[in-house]
Amino acid sequence: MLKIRSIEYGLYPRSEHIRLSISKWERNALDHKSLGKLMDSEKKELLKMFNQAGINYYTDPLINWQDILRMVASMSLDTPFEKISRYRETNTFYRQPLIESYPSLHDISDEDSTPDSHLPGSMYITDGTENYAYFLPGIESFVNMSYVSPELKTERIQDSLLEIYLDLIKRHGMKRILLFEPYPDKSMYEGYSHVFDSAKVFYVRYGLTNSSIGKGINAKPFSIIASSEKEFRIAASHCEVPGIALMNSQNTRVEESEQLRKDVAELSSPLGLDEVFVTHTEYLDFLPHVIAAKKVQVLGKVGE
Amino acid sequence: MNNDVLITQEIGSFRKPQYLSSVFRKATDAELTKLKERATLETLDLFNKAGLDNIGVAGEMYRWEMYEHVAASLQGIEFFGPVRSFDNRYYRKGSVVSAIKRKGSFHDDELKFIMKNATRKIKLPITGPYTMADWSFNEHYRDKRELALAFADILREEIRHLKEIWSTSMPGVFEVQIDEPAATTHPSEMDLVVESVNRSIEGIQGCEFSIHVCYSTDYRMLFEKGADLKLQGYNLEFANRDTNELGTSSDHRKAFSELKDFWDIDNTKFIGIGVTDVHVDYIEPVQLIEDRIRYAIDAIQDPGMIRVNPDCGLRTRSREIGYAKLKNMVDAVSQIRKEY
Repeated sequence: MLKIRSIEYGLYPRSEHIRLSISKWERNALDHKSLGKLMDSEKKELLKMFNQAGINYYTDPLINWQDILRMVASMSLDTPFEKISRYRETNTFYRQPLIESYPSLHDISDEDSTPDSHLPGSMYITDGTENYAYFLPGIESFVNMSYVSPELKTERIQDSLLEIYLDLIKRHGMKRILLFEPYPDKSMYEGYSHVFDSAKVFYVRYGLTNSSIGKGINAKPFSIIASSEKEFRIAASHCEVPGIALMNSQNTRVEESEQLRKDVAELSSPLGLDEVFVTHTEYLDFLPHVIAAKKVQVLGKVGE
Repeated sequence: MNNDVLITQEIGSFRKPQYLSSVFRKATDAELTKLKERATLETLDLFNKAGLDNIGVAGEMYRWEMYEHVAASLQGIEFFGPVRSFDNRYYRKGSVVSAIKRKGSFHDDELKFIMKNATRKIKLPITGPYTMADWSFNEHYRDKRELALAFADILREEIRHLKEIWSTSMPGVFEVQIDEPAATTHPSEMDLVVESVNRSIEGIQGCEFSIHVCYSTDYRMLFEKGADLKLQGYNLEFANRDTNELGTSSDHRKAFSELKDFWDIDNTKFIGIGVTDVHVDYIEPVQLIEDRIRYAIDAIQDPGMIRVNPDCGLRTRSREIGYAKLKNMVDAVSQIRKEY
């Protein structure tokens, strides 16, 4: 019998209370500490909600990350941000990191936070369960989404980021990681072998092809999450448990859990899989809060 | 000095005064109308003081936001809550759940008020059909093309109606700016952008139509298809992607380097160049703006075909910073105009 398990990851829509609190903080009507406390407390509630919905693996909802790169960029670059850039083919924008020297890890605090950098609150809140996975933006995407000074070498930036990631893995004791790669290179960054060796990695990689996974990769991620049937077949042969992004995160129509289960089973059957992960097509921040909450409930049932 | 060259213009939105923004969704219709009028007059005054040639509609004080204002005026669209644009900026993205229909005019009150009070050129911004489709969740129409063309039909009805109002008392052409910030979001859909924009203005006479596009990942897509757009000009964002270093060389003015290619492909439409970044508080010095304009003149060779504007609406900046940016923009143009 096919085991279907669910994953919820990435930026989750902010509640109205959080949005208004951030606005207050931007106007200096709320201090760093109060906003940070509020963020952490809301994150805990969201983790509880994911857990109670029956989601098998979930990440921090990242409500104090202004975009998928912001927190990591703030702690690894000197003058991190340049212009506003469009995120993929969406109407959502991110602040493009400005890489003018090789990244190195430095501590950031709530007191340094500004709307352009990171917001107050913990980088990660965990619930101590086996369901929790730490979110990290892919190293390839970090570089591809940034403005990089021409005199710098891409490989060396990637290696510097890898060092930072390995340090973060150690500092936080990360056992499970969701690595998110919306802007991949043609071939997978070879340094990922070290990340795959260090933790159980759920790797969401867009545009997966057979040639994406280069010969220099010595270790496999635990799971590769694919975005299409074709990519799913490729993913199945390069990881222990493949995953498929099926729930539409760019539409407010809420899917039926049974239909999603059927779709997953149909895709998995020809591959003779015992276990498969299912998730949404992008992170849920593209949806209104109320719809995201409904989709999480459905996703939880798919994984039951 | 030739005031017909390098016409300075606003793109659209400007920060609303607190007394308006804090009650926009709460006040009664009558109260809100009074506040919108007050805010429009104050913004108009600010734009006049800055010296803008074209005041648009004085900062779109009648609209909460460019998408929602139109979507909320239509049947067939439901709202489930805001979605993020960037940072902590949100817009209410509608779900199209049945055939869309116009409930009534969505810009006539604003146009009538501005016609009565403006002493300078007016330009009415209106959100374009492709952007309306791209920014909606489509849960009714067969595909995006069908949805975009449905929005085009609605906009055409609206523009016709506004043109009739304009003709009752205003001399000259009615300037309409079709806002299409989403135009180059999906490279494979450029034909749909052209088709839907053209359909939204089809058969309407006596207007000057321009298109506003911003934050494109690649303007080339627009340039290559732009010749098929049946309108008279472009108003585009450039400053956000430019350096802040002074100078008129291509190295300094990287963002503007595509202008020449653009002009080679289509030299029939004026180009409004974004010379001030609306996403940062940094107030570009007059000299930097001058350098940007001089570079553009060198590329296009015809200052009469260049207009000068901020990258986009200034609603995300404070009114003070917005004003300072506009003032420097006008001062830069005044310096250059002395040479013509």
